[in-house]
Amino acid sequence: VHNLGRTRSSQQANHLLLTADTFVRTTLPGMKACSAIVHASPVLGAKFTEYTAELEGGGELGSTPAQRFLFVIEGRVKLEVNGKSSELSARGYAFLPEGLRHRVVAMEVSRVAVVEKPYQPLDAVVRPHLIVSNEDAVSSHPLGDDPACRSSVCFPMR
Amino acid sequence: MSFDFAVNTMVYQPGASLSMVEMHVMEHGLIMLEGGGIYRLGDSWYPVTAGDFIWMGPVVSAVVRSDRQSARKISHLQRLEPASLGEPAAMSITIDRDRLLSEIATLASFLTRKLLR
Repeated sequence: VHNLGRTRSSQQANHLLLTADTFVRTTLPGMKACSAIVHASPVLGAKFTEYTAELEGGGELGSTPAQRFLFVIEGRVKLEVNGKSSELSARGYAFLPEGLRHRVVAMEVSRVAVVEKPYQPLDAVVRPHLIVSNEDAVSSHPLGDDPACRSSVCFPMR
Repeated sequence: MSFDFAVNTMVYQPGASLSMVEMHVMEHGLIMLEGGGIYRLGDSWYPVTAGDFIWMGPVVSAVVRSDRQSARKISHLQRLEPASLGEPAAMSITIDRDRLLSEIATLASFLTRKLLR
């Protein structure tokens, strides 16, 4: 039974919940055999763009002028940077600093969470560098003193 | 401070919750990767499950409790930009007047039919 107009999705002035039943797919510039579910972007009032890319085998992301963070939710992708390629499987992630040319090509059907944001440079602060890693490779720590909530930091805000 | 945003994954054991309602100026993007639970965003409570996306704007209160399964999420925190200090979370809403009037007319005729039945 389809309940007309019913969804858990909710858009409020200061928060947004998007559920799979309301996802709309689109193709972003440069994408090949790939579609994007855009979750958040500056039109919402956010200072970043976030989307889930759904890639077919051989599918590819387009380029971006912004810094980019990738997290593989499922599947396997090849990341090419400076002539070197690395493989990212589920839970793998990468941080690509602004202006670093790269390619992201799916080796099989994959879903990748992507965050893009123009970098805010500060004088006398070294720009962030490339990171290629995996969630399982970073140690987790309890949040506060509660062992039931554990956090793994992919990269910190410093 | 080199990065201007941070990313982390979090795992909640069954029934676990954040120990406090968080309120901060940094905004969040978040994807529920596994499991589910209940989120308080602003003044509302939402059931959430794997596959959901959440955006929390600046200074929205948030707390989460996982349900009987454990939950796993990935979230990122945006550094407050110096230029945006004190700037309210701006959002514009466009109302299509004709569309609104037609929706009201549809609703009115529906209610009239219901009431007259």
